[in-house]
Amino acid sequence: MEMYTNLFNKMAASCFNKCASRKHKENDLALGEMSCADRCVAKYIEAQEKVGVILQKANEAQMKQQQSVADMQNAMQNSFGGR
Amino acid sequence: MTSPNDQQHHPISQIPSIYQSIMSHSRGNSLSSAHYTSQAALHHPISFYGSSQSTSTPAGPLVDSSASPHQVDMSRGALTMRGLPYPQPWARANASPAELPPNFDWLSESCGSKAAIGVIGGGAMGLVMGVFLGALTDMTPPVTIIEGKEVPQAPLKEQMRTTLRATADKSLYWCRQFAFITGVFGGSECLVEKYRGKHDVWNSVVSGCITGAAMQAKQGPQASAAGCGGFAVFSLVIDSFMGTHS
Repeated sequence: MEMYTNLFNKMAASCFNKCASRKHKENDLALGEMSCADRCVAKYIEAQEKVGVILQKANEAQMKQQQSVADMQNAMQNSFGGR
Repeated sequence: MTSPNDQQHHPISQIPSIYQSIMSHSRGNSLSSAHYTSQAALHHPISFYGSSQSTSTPAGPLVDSSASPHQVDMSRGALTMRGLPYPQPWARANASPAELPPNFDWLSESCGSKAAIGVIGGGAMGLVMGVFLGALTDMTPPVTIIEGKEVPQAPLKEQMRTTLRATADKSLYWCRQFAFITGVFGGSECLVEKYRGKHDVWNSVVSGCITGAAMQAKQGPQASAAGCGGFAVFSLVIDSFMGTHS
């Protein structure tokens, strides 16, 4: 849940900085700003997904490494204890 | 003023005067105006015969009237306020598609609609302009003097008929021209803006170039280029004066 809040806030801030003009002449988004916002949101979410996949892979690799270190420690302790 | 016997036969006499309702303390802390229900606010006919109907809020799920009970308090026969419904525009995000009002955004936001509106509006303006221009310039026939002698004028009815026909032809001509210009300009401006994703004056310049080129397309590429340049400059000037609306 916190991730989604963070995502929404950052996406809104960055897409507004890129797409909306600072001269507020009318209350609605203009047509160009609307299409820019659509594209910005789509790109942002796609980028987030890709980064999420890579992050997950990195996490898994790290977990595997930690697991293998723990296994080696266990094996050494067992071999010492068995002596 | 009221007696228990009167409650069935004379319900109108149950309504206290405003003075009475303010000054009476029979309800404790609640003011009598706190019993004004939303149903009464909608000006539906209220039955004074003490039957309390259970009505659901007629406004729908996007309106919050949780402050008012669904039971309409008809027993007193008086208009009392319990809580008015208020609209909740933010509830659209959570409403199911069955509850939302029908969405007509595509009608105003799509480029085809803008082009169609331009065609219709431009055509109407062209008709009006053609009527004015035609009526003012077509009243005299083109040839009035041949070899020094004046050509006899036709009778009035014939003159009127020819004037009307010339005016109609001219107004149709202007109608076609204006409809084409406005439709192409509107549609191309919408397409260019959607493609660029920005809202500034260069959308009008590019679409002006496209419109000018389309107008002169039958007369060759050089005329198209000239039309493009001319119309682009024209729309740049106009939009710089009018501000970047779109």
